[in-house]
Amino acid sequence: MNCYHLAFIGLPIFIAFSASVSHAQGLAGDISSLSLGNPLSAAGDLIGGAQLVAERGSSSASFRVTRVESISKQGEQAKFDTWSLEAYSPLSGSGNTTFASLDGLANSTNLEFGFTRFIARGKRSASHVVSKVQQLSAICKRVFEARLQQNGTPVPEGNLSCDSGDVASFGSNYDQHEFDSLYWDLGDANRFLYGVTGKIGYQEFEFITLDSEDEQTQSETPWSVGLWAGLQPGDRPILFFAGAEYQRSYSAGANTTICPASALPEATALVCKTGPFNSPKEETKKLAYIEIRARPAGVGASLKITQDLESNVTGLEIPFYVIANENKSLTGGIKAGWRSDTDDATFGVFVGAPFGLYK
Amino acid sequence: MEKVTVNLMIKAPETLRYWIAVDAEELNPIQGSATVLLTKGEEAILFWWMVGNSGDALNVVISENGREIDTVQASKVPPGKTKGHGFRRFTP
Repeated sequence: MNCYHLAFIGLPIFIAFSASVSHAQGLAGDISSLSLGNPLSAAGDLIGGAQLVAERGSSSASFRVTRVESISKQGEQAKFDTWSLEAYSPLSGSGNTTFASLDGLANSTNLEFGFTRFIARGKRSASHVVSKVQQLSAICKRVFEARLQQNGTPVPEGNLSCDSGDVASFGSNYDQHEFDSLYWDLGDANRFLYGVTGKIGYQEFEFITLDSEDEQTQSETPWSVGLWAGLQPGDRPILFFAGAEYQRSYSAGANTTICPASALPEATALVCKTGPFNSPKEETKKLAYIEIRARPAGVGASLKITQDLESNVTGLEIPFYVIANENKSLTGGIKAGWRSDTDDATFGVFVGAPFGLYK
Repeated sequence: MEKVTVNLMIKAPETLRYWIAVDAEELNPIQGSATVLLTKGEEAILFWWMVGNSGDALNVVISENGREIDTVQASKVPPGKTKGHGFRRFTP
């Protein structure tokens, strides 16, 4: 049923946006064989990417497409906007699995819209950089001469072009600083980002009651809205986020066994039924969270602490990205979680979406 | 002086934010595609700025009427950094 829901939501996205996507293999049962992700966006296409997560008691799949716009105007801060649409579905689990994220929609099949604005302070204008092109060319010449000394590669003829990778590989510290400062105001390098999210889900509950011998079903549409902001101080591979979400979700009743009194007085055995008791309960969640993301050499990690202000429950999530794909993007790893109400620690694996400092 | 429309096609990972300009003109690509009007036969300079993970690479194909003029291949954010940049001269 869950796979059906994912297909139901995902198919229109595939068709409407013609997004490229890799395929997932072996979704049946536990996740064991995967081939996911689409790390490079092709110009004109929407960026597509899939992710699978498996942890104790549950697993899930999601697929995301994004649309990007790069905005840069003379005398204004450089911006980069991202619109995203993500389809998510739990693949297994009891339907009332509790998550370290405290996300009330994690047990539902859902569709999430997101908008992110990224602001890069300190980017110098094109008119400034073009006025310094002689200095840039002189740095390139010194870099290519150093490369000639190191590995024998000839210095290209004519007017030279190069990039920060060339300068970092073969340039002096002075040249690196000069090259960087012609493109960026190095004293004003903080980066900011903020965003909004909206999520709507579908969840079907089956439950038993005292009033009926038959199992009952009920469908609900949980929803969520949120906003967040982040700061990257300088040219350091670390980001700080804070955000809040308001959620209207539903939870199944506790698993219960009911043994109704038999209508037949001569009966010698009780006929019982087991399942979530009574109809799902509506819940309001007010989630506030802080998150730190870092990408030290070779790995990516984040720490997210979420507080449900309604129920006073705390959740902790720590994913580590350690598996890189052929493009050296970190696309898989392990995650640990904990929540205060159950005092339950969870561990899992995930693969698919590349780790980025930015949401 | 004949003017020609030059197309820029950018490929980048989702984790990379980038900005591009040709000469002093800032361009605003949508979904990695932008155009600029240039004088045929006159040298122009493509500039780019990027912010992302160390090792993230930007690729730019410069073309005119479907004819490839030049390509920037895998300009990467240097190791240990979160930003990168560069320039490329080309003649339409």
